[in-house]
Amino acid sequence: MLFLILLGFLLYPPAVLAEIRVDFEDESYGMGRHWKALASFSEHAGLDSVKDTYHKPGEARVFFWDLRYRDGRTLKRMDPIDYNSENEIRVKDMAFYINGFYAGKLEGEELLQAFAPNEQVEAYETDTGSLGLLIKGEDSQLIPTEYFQEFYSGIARQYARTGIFYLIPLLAAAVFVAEFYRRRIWKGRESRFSWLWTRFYTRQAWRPSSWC
Amino acid sequence: MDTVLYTAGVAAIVLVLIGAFTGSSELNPDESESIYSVQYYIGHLMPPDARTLSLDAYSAFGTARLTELNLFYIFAAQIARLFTFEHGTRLFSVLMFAGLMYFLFWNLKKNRFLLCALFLTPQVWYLYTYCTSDALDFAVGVLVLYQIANPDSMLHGLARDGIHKCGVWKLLLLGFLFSNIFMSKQNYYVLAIYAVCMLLADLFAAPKEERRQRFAVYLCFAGAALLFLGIRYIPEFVHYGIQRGGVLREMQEAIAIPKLNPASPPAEQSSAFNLHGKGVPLADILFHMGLNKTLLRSFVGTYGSLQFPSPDWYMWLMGLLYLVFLSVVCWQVLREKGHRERKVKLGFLFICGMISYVLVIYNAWFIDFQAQGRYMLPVLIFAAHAAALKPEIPRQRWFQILICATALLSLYSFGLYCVPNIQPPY
Repeated sequence: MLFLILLGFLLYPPAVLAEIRVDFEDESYGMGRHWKALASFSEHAGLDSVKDTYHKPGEARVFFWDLRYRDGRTLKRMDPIDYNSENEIRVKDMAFYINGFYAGKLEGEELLQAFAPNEQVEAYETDTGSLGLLIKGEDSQLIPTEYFQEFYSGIARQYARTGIFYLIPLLAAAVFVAEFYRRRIWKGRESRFSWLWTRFYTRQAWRPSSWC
Repeated sequence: MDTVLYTAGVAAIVLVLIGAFTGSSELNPDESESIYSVQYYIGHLMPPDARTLSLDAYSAFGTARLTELNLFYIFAAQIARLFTFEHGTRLFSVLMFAGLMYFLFWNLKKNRFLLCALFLTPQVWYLYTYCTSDALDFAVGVLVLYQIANPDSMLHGLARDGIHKCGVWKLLLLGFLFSNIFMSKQNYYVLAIYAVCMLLADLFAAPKEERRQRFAVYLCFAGAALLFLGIRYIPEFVHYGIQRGGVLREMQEAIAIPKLNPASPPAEQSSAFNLHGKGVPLADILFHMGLNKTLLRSFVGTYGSLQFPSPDWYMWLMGLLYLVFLSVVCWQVLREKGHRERKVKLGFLFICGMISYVLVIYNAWFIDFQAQGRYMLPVLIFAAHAAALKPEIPRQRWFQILICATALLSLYSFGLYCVPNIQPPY
């Protein structure tokens, strides 16, 4: 049974845990917490699609489970910042991790091709080869292009099977839980209905002290 | 019933796992400082000098988790350093919770009273979904409860047989366990009073010829606990000498914002701060500011920073179940003929519970009006011990049904009102 589950997972991995790590050119850049990613399995992305952004100076990270990694359409958009800072944000690269394993990177011109900016942000390649973002409004958005979707679906498919390294301990835990129950709880139980039969079908049933 | 409880336990572990790895880190009480502290110990071995810490380590109250004696942050860092994902700082808490459940179900046959510690309220489960030292403090409380309430525990074995060469490691282990009480948050200090009272009751209940040996063993426990506490104080002594309290107070007054600064005049302080200094009478605190209602609500199931309460009917039902539990346990222990030490212990347990409550009132009146139920969680330890006073109680039908009811209600509250609400974005 366990073997079948593992085999099934290897033949058709159902999901991946994707991590996008945004590396800013300025290592002390502290506004990474404002970087937002919206990911959704449906075609629409609402407020509940916003993923928590984890940040430290010079970096922002986003995690999301991805059930439709095969077409690369789960990531709906990225918002660099939610207010008009009128500053330039420089992104050195975006690294992608699938199931915790490094899967690839977008930088320079590839990074520029991967996202289409809306009218509130201007995107260009800087002299240092980073992606430069000039924020012009309060709702700047970067929409993934087909180039991004192909890149992402390729790396996700390549690394999806690494999920087996999490499935094995998960299955081991499930087996442990079941075995523990069988040995310590089930074997130690009183007969399931013995109290019911003896209490309700004998005279003792109606004595209040029999409940204590 | 055991199957129901086991299923509830496994479901609780799964929910805690989900909450820990998907819950927002901007929601839970004081978690950002705890995460900072854990991350500090990933890169450092020794506790820091408060005067060298960056402002990020301090809260708006001017306090820093890194200045606490608690070992939680050091332990959590050893686990978190092995993982790169963000919520690695919560992994230690999750493992502790799984360990507590395993310990509980391993002891299900002989020490069923432990069920009270983990299945009377989901507020305990919530502690283990985020990074907080309360998680270790409560786990220490459960282990202390096991040692004191279980007549076959390591502690009672040593007390009966004395300490021999091969038993020194047990003494040191127990000393380490008890020393953690003095390194915990202040609301858990009441566990030390509980331990002393229960052990003294056992001392006077023991046969006369055994009392001297038992007392000597107790002194050795105290010595071992003080030894480990002394070891923990070494880096503090190196940094501050004997001025630790003064230095931390100075840092608090220098860093806290005016509204939350103990040195600010009462008129400048926040409306919830130092109510005694503002002339608010105790009667107002007790009866007119909703303290008791908020305390009960946050004890039985309110999540986030008191933002996500469970429904009113749930609160009332849990309150009723607690009343039934208390009433039946007291009635059974008090109506028994003989067994005077059990009645004395019951009295001590009530006193410890009252001390817990009084400490919350003191904090609300003199320091900061925070009626948080998690400050009253040591009461669960006392409730569990009360159930252990008469060994038949945890095996009785009413107890089984009641604990199953609270377990299932806790699952309902935790599953519907905690885990979904602590998801980002926040």
